[in-house]
Amino acid sequence: MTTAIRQPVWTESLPGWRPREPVEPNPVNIQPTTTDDARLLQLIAGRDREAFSQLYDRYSGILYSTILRVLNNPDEAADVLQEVFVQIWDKAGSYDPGLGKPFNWALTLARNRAIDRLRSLRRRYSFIEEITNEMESEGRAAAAGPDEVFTQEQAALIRSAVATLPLEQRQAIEMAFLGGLTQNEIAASLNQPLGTIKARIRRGMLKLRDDLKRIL
Amino acid sequence: MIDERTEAQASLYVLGALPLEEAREFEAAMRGDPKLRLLVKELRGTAGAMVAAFPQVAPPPALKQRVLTAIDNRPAAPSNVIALDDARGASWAGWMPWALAACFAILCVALISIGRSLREQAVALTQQLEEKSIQTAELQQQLDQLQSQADQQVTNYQTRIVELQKQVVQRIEEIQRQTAALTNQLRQQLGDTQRRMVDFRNQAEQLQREKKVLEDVVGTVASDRLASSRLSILRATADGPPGVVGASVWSPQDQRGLLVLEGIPPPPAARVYQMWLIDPAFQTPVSGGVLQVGPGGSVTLQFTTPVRVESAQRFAISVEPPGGVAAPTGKIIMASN
Repeated sequence: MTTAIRQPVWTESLPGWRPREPVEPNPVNIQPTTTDDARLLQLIAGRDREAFSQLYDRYSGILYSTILRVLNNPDEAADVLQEVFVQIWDKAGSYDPGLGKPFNWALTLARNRAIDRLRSLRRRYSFIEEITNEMESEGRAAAAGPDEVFTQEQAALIRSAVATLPLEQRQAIEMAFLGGLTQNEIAASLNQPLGTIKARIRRGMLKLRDDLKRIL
Repeated sequence: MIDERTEAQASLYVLGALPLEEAREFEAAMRGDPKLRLLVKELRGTAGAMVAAFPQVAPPPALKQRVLTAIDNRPAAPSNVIALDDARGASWAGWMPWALAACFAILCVALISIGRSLREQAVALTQQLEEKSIQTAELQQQLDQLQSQADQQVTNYQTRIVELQKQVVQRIEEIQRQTAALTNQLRQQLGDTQRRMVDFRNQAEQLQREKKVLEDVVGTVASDRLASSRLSILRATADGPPGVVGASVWSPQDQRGLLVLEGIPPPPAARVYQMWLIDPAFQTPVSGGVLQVGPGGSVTLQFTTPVRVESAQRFAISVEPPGGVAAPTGKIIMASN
């Protein structure tokens, strides 16, 4: 199965940009639990190369998809993903279970790296166009197949929950999470009062949390 | 309860959208607040789950080997093999480093084992802490519910108190109305009583005056004649002047009598008062004579009759033409019983 990723039109004029080749998602492995992932991180902290390889197989697809979502450039995304996994190798021992699941820890590393790279490249998404096209392509996204971290049922539930968010809430959340913009930058970009942006993000995040409570 | 502002901060924090300074302050607040840490954990999981909604794309297949190569080139961990200098001799100075290395390796293995054990304990303790935090949040929720119920009860009691106050006010107003009605009734009764007392007093005065005229009349009659004499009180009729009293005595043996009046006004113009004796033996009253009203409305008349009167049953006074008449023609103003 191939997945078509839409690129913002203006990115075609950026130096070094080239159309992305459709790629197959990784095959579905067994569905390890959070406890298994924590165990893998423990082993990686002890320099267990096999454990690292397993964690790469589980996380690389969804982390790459997220980084690609931020950078919109496959080469840059692959580069950042490599840095992220090297960071996981180096910092596995610092993982704190009290702050969340292992995947969320790895996702935070990936997201932060991607945002740093995005800022260094001074690129920005065309968020509104992206969101509009994302809504149009949700059917394709749903058909892209399950990943290694979430089951098909969970992924479908998450897509459904995200799709039911009001557009302005999704827009503000994505600008923060994927665009790396601060609350003030989002408010300025959307020409809205800061309080409005805070309220939109709060309502959106709490609604998502409530909708996804049974799988979190 | 976490307020909306803090919820917004937590949402912005997990999305990395808080300014640096505000993020530091938030982290400080989070360290002392288990419920806030729980919220951040949930929201971080939410943000993590959100990426599953993106179209999934696999990384280039060759990337994994690049990553593995990269980690192979990373500095070795302390537990990795330590490079040894094999140029040492076979003397004690030669095997000593090997012994030390062996001891060091054993020590490293022991430390790693202890480290893993401690890490596992830390994981277990963290899970316990999370469970306790959740229990605390649940207890806080129950406390909030109880507080809400208590507030509701207070509201109910306040409502009941207001209702009771209204009822008390209504009851007081009703009692005041009843008191005012009773007061009016008592005033009316008091007025009636006072009027009746005036009437009784007037009657007493009337009786007193009647007693006086009777005494005057009785005083004129000889004691040996008194038993056979006719003694009567005269009172005003409906046509007579109010306040006038009188008494009359008639002696059949002597065929003469005495009339005493008090408080009688002068007769109308061109009219006189005339006294009459009523005896069943005669068809018409018998004249006792015309009265002369003295100063102050007093009259004392010694009278006789033109015919013999044996049984004078009643006495009367009428208003007649000047000089009197043989039989009464005018209004009877006074009469005895």
